[in-house]
Amino acid sequence: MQPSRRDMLCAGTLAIGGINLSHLLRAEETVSGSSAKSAIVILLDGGPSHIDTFDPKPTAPREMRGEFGTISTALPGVPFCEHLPQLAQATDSYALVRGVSHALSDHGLGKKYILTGTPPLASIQYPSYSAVMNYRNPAAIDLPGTVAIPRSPQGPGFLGIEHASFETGEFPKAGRSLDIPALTLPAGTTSPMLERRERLRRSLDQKLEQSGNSSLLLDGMDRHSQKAYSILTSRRTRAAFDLSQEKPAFAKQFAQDSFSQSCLLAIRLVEAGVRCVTISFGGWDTHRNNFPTLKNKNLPRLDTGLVALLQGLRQRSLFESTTVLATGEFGRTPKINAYGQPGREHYAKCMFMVLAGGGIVGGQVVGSSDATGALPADVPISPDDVAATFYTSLGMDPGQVLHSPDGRPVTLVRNGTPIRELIRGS
Amino acid sequence: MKMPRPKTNRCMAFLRSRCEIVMAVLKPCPKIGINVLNATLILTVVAINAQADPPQRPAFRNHIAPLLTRLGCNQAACHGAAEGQAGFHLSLFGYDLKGDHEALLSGDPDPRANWRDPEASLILQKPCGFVDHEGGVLFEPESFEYQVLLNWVKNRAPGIPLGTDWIEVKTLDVQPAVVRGLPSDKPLKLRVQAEWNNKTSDDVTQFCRFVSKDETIATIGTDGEITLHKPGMTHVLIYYDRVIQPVEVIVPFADTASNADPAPTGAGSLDTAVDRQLAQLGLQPAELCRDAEFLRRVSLDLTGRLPRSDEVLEFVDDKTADKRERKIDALLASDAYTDHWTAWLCELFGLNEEVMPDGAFRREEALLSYQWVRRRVEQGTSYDQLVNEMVRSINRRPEQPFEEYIDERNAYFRDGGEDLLVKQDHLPFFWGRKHIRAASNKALTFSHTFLAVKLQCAECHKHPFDRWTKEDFEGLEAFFEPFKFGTPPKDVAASKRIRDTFRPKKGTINDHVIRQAFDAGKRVSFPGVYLKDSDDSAAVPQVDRLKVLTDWMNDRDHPYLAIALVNRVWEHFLGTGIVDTPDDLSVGNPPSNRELLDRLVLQFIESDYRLRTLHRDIVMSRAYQRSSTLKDAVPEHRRQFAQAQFRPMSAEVLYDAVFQATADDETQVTTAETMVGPRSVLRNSHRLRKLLARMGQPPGDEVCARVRSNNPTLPRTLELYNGPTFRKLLDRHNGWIGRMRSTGTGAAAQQLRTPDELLPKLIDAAFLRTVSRLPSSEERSSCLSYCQESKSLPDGVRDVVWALINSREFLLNH
Repeated sequence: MQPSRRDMLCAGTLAIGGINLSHLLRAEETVSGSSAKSAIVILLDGGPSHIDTFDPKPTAPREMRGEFGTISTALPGVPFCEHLPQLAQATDSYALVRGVSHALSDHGLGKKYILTGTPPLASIQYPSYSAVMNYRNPAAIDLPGTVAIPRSPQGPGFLGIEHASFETGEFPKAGRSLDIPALTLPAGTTSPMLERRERLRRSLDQKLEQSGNSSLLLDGMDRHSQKAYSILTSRRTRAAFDLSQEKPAFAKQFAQDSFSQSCLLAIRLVEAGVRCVTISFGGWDTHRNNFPTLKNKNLPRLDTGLVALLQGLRQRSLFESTTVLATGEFGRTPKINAYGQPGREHYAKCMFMVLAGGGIVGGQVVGSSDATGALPADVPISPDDVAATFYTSLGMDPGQVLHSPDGRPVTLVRNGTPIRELIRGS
Repeated sequence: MKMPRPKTNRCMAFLRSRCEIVMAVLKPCPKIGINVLNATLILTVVAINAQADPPQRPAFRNHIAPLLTRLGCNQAACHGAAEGQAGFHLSLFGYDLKGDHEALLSGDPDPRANWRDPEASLILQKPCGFVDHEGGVLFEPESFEYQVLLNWVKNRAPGIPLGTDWIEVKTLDVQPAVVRGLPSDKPLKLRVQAEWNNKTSDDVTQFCRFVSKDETIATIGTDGEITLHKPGMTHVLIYYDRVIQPVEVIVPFADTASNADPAPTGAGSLDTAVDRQLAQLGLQPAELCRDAEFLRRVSLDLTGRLPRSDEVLEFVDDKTADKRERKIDALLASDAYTDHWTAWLCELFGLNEEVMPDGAFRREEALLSYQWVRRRVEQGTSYDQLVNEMVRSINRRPEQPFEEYIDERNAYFRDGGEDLLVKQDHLPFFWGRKHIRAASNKALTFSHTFLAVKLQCAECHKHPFDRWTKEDFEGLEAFFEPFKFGTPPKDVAASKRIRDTFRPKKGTINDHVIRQAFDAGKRVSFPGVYLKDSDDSAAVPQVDRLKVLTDWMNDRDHPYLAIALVNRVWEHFLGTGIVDTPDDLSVGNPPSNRELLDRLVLQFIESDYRLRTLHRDIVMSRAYQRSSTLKDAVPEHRRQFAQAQFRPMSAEVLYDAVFQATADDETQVTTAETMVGPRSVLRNSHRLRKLLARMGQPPGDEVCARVRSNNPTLPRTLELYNGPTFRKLLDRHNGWIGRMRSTGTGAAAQQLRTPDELLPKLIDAAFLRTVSRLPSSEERSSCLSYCQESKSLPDGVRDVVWALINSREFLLNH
């Protein structure tokens, strides 16, 4: 008796010890087309000050406005911190969201919130943006679906580790190939050797074939082995991770620091077909030494890296099909603390986020904060709203219902409304 | 001794209502089997009644609220959404009768229920489609539903009469109680009689919501008419008021007249239950599995280890009849068994480094907890006693002086601390775990861990497939509300004195400072769980509060603790729970074989909750020992345990299996090296934690969900295929291949020239180490030719081992 497709589906959901393999089927069915969209999520890890970056308060008292001056931008009447000169000129390429506000000024909780779009709950773990992207648009067989540089700041939650980001483990270095342990072949291993070994493996992997038992599980394992082999032997995957293969004229636009190089790698990965790249850019937790750190290190890197990323995406014709989100887990206190090397503390009530890409209307500022950057001046914008905007810009319905492994229906973004001004075509 | 009672009414309400639910999940054990045996009688088709007349004076509780549920008005996609729809909000799945009644009476400018002009009421206009309704047309103007709602509005839309809110449905009497038939049979109509606790009863068939658990087998119409489609076993669920009643549906695969009464098997009562169900369904089970397969399976399931190569050969050659039984008993007595099941229980209880209470001592606290549980597993302590000891003390013994308590806590982390702790009749770290500091999280984790009940839905709204409501959740939460984590006010001064001895001149006391002080020999202070003095129920001693709860879940009339555990253990061994989704025991989730669950629970209770006996009973059964190979298998075979299932190994077991398969012949793998064992409770401080996480080990801070994934995912596959850790295991110099390389290149070259003698032996060994069997002649010859074409003999054999490790036969327990 030939099991019907329905039998196989039942086998998948009922028989294999609670293992949900339906996504394998879907991966099979969804032929990834070139029209599929991608995302780049940049976590400004530690929580950058909004006042010392995109939301300066030059008229606030000195203990709040800080040491930095302001510069005018391409947007009339919108000043930025003086240390973001390139971003100030490139406002056309992105939208700035000011007056984003939430209540979780703890690093762990804050990151969970801003990287999922839903405040953390005890009863269920929400999936990261990248896990949702992978779940909804599986990548080609020889590519990891999503990549995190260097490590994934937020897991796949109830979608399961199937949808965990592939972690590079380290930052890329200019002009070098990024050697990821599980993708790096031992010295002296050649493609023919791999192929010969894989042939042996397949010839020995016949044993459970005829048993009439849960073909879905066996097929799934088969596909994973094929994917592992394909990724390892794929020239384009290897090439995507190898920055030495980048055209010098293009590579030259990116600074040597790890953030800029991560941006370059992100472009190459998106171009190859990776659905979501997450970049962790750390060093923003400036309780002390806020001003020298920002001025000498973080701000120049952010300024050149982000501008090069957006330019590069345009030059490669990827801008239209990509959404870029850059955000910290929170902002920082308007009041500068009284340490010898002063800094600012965690502050979630007011922060900024940056959105860019084909689905986003750039060249504008949405939302605003009050005179001291303490609270949103208009209706506060929640991380949920930004999440809804992010998904909408990628053509995904933020109100769609996902299912946890035990069948609980979970709305992708529970409480967010897309920010209309930001959505192209709305 | 006086029986303590918590004073909080909410606690009592919880106990009262929960007992009813448990009764519905598992019929009381003394009556075991009887229901099931009688149920095999084929029920005659109940005459289909002509549709009854709508009641002249419909009541809100009896008729209107159930009707709204039946029509789907209060679902999340409709008016049950948090913000309602079109300004009309109903409580999700109808948990709030009073609020829903108010919502029906309001509405501006057009009242939803308008008794001045009943026909104009929006609750009639909208669902009939006379006024635009996003939810579509639900009924016609002449329909039964329309008449019921109209009659209700005409009677001025009454709510629940004052003083009658104690009245509720006691049981639903459904005829027939079991549906058994063939797809060719005429459709059959269920009749539902509600028995109320005010001694009235009425036919409520037309007010019930009917749901089929598997619509490929049977569908059920809104009027309760069942149509059978294809062979299999499923349930239809009947919802009315707060009661849910499952009705079993059996559609046999073959003519069952000849084997309706299976021959006595003499193989124990579990098999009797399984075989009876198979006979009813007309399904033939698979043969028993072969010896080598059995040995591999039972070793992995009982001890988390592969059998050794010599063990496989010896077992296969053994010709005695009772060799499986003797092997089982030997495994049950092994240290590996104790470690495997200690790790299993620690995961169930949520004992791991990630969540331990004290930042400076998380690693030690996790390891100590492991040893505390291990001692009890080793000694064969009853499961209920283990749980009672762990749960009943909140942290500090009543009346224990603060200084003595601090001394005790310090001593746990000094030399000899482990001996001291495992002898304690309580586990001091349990309630202080950092992810369950809130009472609501304690309630969630308690119901998940010990009752296998999902309360998280009821935290906000009524559970959609169960009877749980918000009040139930709050009732359980009330047990934990007086718990507080920190230092009790009366001990703050003493604690400060201790902390002053190591307070740094600059900065504050953090975990690092505490740790340094402790390592320098200082005595440090610990916060802990205590009862808030202000709470009016503090008059109830802490032990009693938790004793009430544990006594309740151990009550022999509704042994929830036992049901939750045996079903999870069954899932461990068979791959599917008797109640599938073992973390969600609910009336809406009936067992696939009630008799089997009853018997298993009863045997477990009669054995005085002995884990070893439970494990032995299961692995001795023929249901467990069946082959995974079965011609023409259908999913029902697996659901009914007629065939063994393929089960991917856990991350830890898989790592250990590769470690063992690649170790040299002399190495006896011990707990010091395995991931199953004390290391399983480590997280941050564990060298291989990231690898294990990629392969499915859970983070450990889950409050009420099992997130372990044994899925053979892509990250896991890549790690095994080419990851550095597994490459190193394969090539390590003191491993099997490494030793082969170091026995001298001269010798290896010699061997390669005369491969006829050595190579086949090495290939046999590679198979025994990995897939616990000898190769077939084709397998042997393809490996032979592969090795002969390789650069060297060790290179060839290495690739054979690699290929076997990456085969499904190795990666699955089968």
